[in-house]
Amino acid sequence: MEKVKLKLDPKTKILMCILVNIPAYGIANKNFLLPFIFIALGMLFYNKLYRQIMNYLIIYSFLNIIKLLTPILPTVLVHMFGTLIISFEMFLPFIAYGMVLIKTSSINEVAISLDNINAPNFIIIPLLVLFRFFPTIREEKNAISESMKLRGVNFGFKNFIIHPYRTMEFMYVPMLFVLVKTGEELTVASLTRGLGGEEKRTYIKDVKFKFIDVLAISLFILLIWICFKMKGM
Amino acid sequence: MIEFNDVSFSYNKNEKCVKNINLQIKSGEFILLSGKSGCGKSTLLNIISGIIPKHIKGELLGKVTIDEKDISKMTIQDISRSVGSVFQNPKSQFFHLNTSDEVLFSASNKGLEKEELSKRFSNIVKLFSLEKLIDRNIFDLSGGEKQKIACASTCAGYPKILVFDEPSSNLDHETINEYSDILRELKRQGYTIIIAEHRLYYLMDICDKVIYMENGEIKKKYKKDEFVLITDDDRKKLGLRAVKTVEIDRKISDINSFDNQLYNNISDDEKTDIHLKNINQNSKNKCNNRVEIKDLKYNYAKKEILDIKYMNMLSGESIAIIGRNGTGKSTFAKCLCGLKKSNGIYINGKKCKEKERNKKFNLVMQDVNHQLFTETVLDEMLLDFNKKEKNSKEYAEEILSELDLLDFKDRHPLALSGGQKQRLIVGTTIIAERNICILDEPTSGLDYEHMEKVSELINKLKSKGIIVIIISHDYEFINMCCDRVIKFMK
Repeated sequence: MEKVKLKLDPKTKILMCILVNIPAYGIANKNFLLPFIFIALGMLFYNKLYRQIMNYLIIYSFLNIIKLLTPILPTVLVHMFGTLIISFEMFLPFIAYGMVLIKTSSINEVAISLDNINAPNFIIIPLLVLFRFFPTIREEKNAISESMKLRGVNFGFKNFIIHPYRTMEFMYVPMLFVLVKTGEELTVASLTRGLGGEEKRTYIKDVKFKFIDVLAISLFILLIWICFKMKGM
Repeated sequence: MIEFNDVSFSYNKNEKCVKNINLQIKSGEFILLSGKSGCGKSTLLNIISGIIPKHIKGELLGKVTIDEKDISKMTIQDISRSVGSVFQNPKSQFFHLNTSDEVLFSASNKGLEKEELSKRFSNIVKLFSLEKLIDRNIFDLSGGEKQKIACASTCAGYPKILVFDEPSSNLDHETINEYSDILRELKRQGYTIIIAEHRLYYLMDICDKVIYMENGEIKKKYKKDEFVLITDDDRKKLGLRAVKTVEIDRKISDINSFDNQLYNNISDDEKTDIHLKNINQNSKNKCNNRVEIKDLKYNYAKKEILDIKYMNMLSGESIAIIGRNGTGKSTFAKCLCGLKKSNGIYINGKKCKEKERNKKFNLVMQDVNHQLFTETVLDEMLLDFNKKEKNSKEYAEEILSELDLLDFKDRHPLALSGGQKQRLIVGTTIIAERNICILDEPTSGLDYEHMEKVSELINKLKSKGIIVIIISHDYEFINMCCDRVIKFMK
């Protein structure tokens, strides 16, 4: 017998993305955030997304190494980048859940799930477009960095140190241009296929909000509550 | 079915994109719109699909009706029930990332019952023979497969009218033949089809009428029989591409075949002689540039993609590379340029590593927008230039004037037209004195006039002693400017 794969409704994942910010900004203590990050990484692991886990761990450790270095670093630097790093740290749990949402659900599933609760078009369509753009950005980035290599202005560490401004500009100017163009063409194509009409969209597949979703959300809220209790708030 | 009644459109008051269009299209007709780039073909199609004036704003005069209903009173979504559109760029007409979801996208927006949806899905899969393509990631498909899915998705909405805007631009020869079979079948099923296209040959036995446009006006309406009779010279004057299927009239050698080896076994002197006939007199002294490939291998995900035993290229030579999508042509280009790890490339007998190849080879990609970085055209040229020389600016301007770009030297490179961008990147190849320039599909979506211009550009590169490699499906263009042809096989 084939093993049935557990799958959460995209609504649940979106809700988790929002809820996780409560402890992230409300408690703002690294140790209390660890269980939340651990759960998200667990979900990525369950879906065999090992590369994403690696990427996340690299960002996480990089940030913590910088934090460990603060006593040695010159005070000017700490003052300059301190706020930035702390706010980025509070943002980290959200990134983890965002990765889960984007990597484990297709555009269609998100659309079905949100159409089931009759969410308005002005929420659904931008969200779907956002989903559509992540892989596009990656593809364009690869193409641009390849052509930068050919012109001897690599998007690499060395050039980042020597010409930080120029390297960023060379990456982002063509990127924005191509994305705007793609966005426009995509809009036209979607409009001529009837997106945004008055009829309710229908689908072959079905995504159901199941008991497992209720359970997941309840446990998630319970965990947040426990964290706040332990902190004594 | 569709009626244009004295229709004109302008983005701004002074310039009219299309003017005084009067046209009746009957149900079930297959209409081919032809004409040079910028003659208003796409504008006309966008008016039919309602994109103009509802999404792209401007002033639309006159009346367009579909089935006797005035479309100015309908929303784009209403129009989309009777008109389906397929566009040029396969990359940007997908909303979903999964092929099955995409095929059902337009049907899904129309509020149909679930049973009806599954019925349509199986119908469409059968009609387009999509069995191998369902439930896959769209980014993993080739250009031809993407274009097939786009067409399938549009048809799943069951419109009565299908509008195509240069659908063949990114397709290889064999895929175009398959595509024309699909179009024939759609016509048989009673769809009214309007197609704007530069490549005409594959539509000749399907279309009923050909409409020739110039400067936004309908210049002439031909019946198919009349159109076929136009002589080649007159056709070229109209700026149109070949009407009959073009075969390559050069020697074609298989990438691993005996032919190719034979060519390579002639002594270099003989080869130089052969090439000198093709090369301008003044560049004879620059013939000192020889690139060899020995045992080039490239594997991806444990699959062998390239395995080239031997290949030899001399300066001033232009080599066309043909072959179906997915036979490793683009990978080959990237290996040559050193963008992918690979060994076995020698310049003038010396082995050349990836990093070095980055500097000596250049690749003009299909989407040139990825390759322009600086703020002005002149800066773009200087980015590649050895900064030690004082007269670099004069030299750059000299090359720009050769490429007809001097008037634009202070413009932003991304504000240039497509052809100008292509020329600018070629210019950076010349100024950096690179050995090889590879062009990936330089003529996709170009009319006859622009194709001639690209061919001139290639001759310019050749006269500078640069080896030109052209990856192309465009046989008409290959006949125009390539010295020999190599075919890639799986």
